[in-house]
Amino acid sequence: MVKILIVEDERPIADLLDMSLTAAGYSCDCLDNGAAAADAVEAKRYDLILLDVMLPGIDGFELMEYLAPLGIPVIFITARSAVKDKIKGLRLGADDYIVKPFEIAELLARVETVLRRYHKTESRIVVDDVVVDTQSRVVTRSGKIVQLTAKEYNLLVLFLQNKNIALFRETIYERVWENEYMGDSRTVDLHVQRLRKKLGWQERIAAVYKVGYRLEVEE
Amino acid sequence: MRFSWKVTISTLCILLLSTGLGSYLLISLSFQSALEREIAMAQEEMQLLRVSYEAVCSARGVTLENMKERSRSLTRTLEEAAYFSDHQFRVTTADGERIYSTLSSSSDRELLSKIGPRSSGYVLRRNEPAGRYLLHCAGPVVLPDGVLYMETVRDVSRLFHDRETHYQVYRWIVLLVVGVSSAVMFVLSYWLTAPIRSLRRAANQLAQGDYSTRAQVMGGDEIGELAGNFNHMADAIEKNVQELEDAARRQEDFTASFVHELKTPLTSIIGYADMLRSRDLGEDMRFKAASYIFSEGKRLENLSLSLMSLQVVGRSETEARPVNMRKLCAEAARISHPAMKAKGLRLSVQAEEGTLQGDGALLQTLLQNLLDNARKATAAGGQVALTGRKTEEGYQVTVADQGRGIPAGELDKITEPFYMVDKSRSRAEGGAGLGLALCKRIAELHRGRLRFESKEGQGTMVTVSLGGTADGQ
Repeated sequence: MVKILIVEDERPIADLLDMSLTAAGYSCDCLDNGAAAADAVEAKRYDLILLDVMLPGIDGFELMEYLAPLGIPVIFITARSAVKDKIKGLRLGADDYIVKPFEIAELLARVETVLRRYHKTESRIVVDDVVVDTQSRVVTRSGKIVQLTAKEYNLLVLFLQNKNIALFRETIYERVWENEYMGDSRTVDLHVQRLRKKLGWQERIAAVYKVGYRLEVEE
Repeated sequence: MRFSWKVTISTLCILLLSTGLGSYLLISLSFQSALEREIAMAQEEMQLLRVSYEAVCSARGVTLENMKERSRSLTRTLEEAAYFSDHQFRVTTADGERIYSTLSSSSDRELLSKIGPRSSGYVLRRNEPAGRYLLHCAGPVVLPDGVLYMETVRDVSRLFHDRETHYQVYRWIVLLVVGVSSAVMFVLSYWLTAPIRSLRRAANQLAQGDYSTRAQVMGGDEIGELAGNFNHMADAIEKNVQELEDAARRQEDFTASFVHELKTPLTSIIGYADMLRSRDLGEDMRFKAASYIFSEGKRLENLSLSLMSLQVVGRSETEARPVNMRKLCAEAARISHPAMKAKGLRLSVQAEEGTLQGDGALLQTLLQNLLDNARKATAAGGQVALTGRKTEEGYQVTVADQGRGIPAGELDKITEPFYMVDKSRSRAEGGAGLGLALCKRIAELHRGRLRFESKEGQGTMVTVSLGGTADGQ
């Protein structure tokens, strides 16, 4: 199981991150200051650190200088959206930068991306007879390759990252098409129909009334 | 062009002109007088010869008519006489016919035509091929029956030669003097303008943003004074820039903190709301999420209220009315009492009678905030003391607690907006970090200030000295 260390002094946000990531199948530890975090990474192996910039005592940037040589991927979480802060964070060796306030789908996608870059995720995701290889981006159903367009593939990955979570049409649109949602849901609906048909997931991808869709998987 | 160059060149010009002209005049004058002297001598010589010749002629009874016959004996006499043989001269008739001559040159017709039978004259000629200057003098020799002319020639080349030599020597002297003095002048003016150069360097550095630079003050002359004034100006600029930078930095800090304070609760609210709407959460989780949304929403509300009062205090013109400070203290204590009691704290109030010009509502907020801070800092069973004292300049309120105190290093930062000594504890008690910033502003409006004395683990004492609003005095 992938282990994530959350360093965040704001209790509500730390809990939010913990709940979301735990639900997505990660194992999380929460700490509220830099010194404890520095101790923790020595005691235990983590696959990813979510690091708040504004911490009491040692702040996130200072802690980053200590963490960088260890080679553990780090994602900064901060309220500072100034470009120079982002650049500073990335230059110090962080892998990504999430600006508060963020949506959970965005958080999960960024975590997933960074973990995939470090090959820390299962590159094979299996649901029923469908197998998705996230490294080669090949999808097979009962051993036969299923031809998916780029958008359909991204949609499938989004569903797999958010199992049993209702995805709003606007969230789907923003994440897959990477555009501001303009209120036209037909594109999303059409792609979901195609995906259902190609994978035989008419039942699995359930429509949620007035919301969007949810991938239902027994855990 | 450099100032020292200007000084040097202008001095050089003046020096060149004055010494050149001066020496030229001097040489000319001395030459002139020497020449006049020569002319006088030449004329005198000619006169002497002329008179002697006349005398010889008269003694021998020589006339113009018998001149031809007598000329041989006359010539002999002349050649024998030591006086005549010492001089070279020529005697001619009015027509230019030669009677006697020891001169090699021919008769000077031009000169002879100029002078009449009674006067004498002279002319200065330059003898071209040899470049010699010759002074020709002529005068009439009066015989009973006519006039002869006596001519003499005097070589005055030496005078001209001397003048030429003098010119040359003086030219060298002038050049030397000008050269040496311009070198001296250059060094001198370079040395004199050194403070100006240092001032210029300082001004350049100042213009380039190095506000700590200062000019070197050398001596008490005008330039020294200027450097002193420049330094005063630099002091003022540095101070202003420092203040501007501080203000900008404070503004930046304030904005950064504000954004952080705003985004943190927003993140929780959006995140938990997102979770609630898109997921089937268990009963516990749903309750937790909803609680967080509620408490973080409250925190936002708190923040906006605090910000608003800070804004209002910062902008409004305060009312200036007489405020009874004893009553105000008592009222503040009454309002705080329930919360104190609930935490098991004792609150003692001791306030002198005293009136202060000011805004009662704002002063109430100030006391309330200080009492709240004292309550939050003090553990159950502790004591909080509110003391009011009339002072010379106004009124002084002290709030002392037996709480956990403030670390010495933090004391000067606690009145900055959003600054919290213990963030998690402040959060838990619903603080936004703006209370003391507000208190400070209220105190400033009443021409007062806050003073903190604190010992960690023993307690904090806040003293507010108030002078009242300006128009109350």
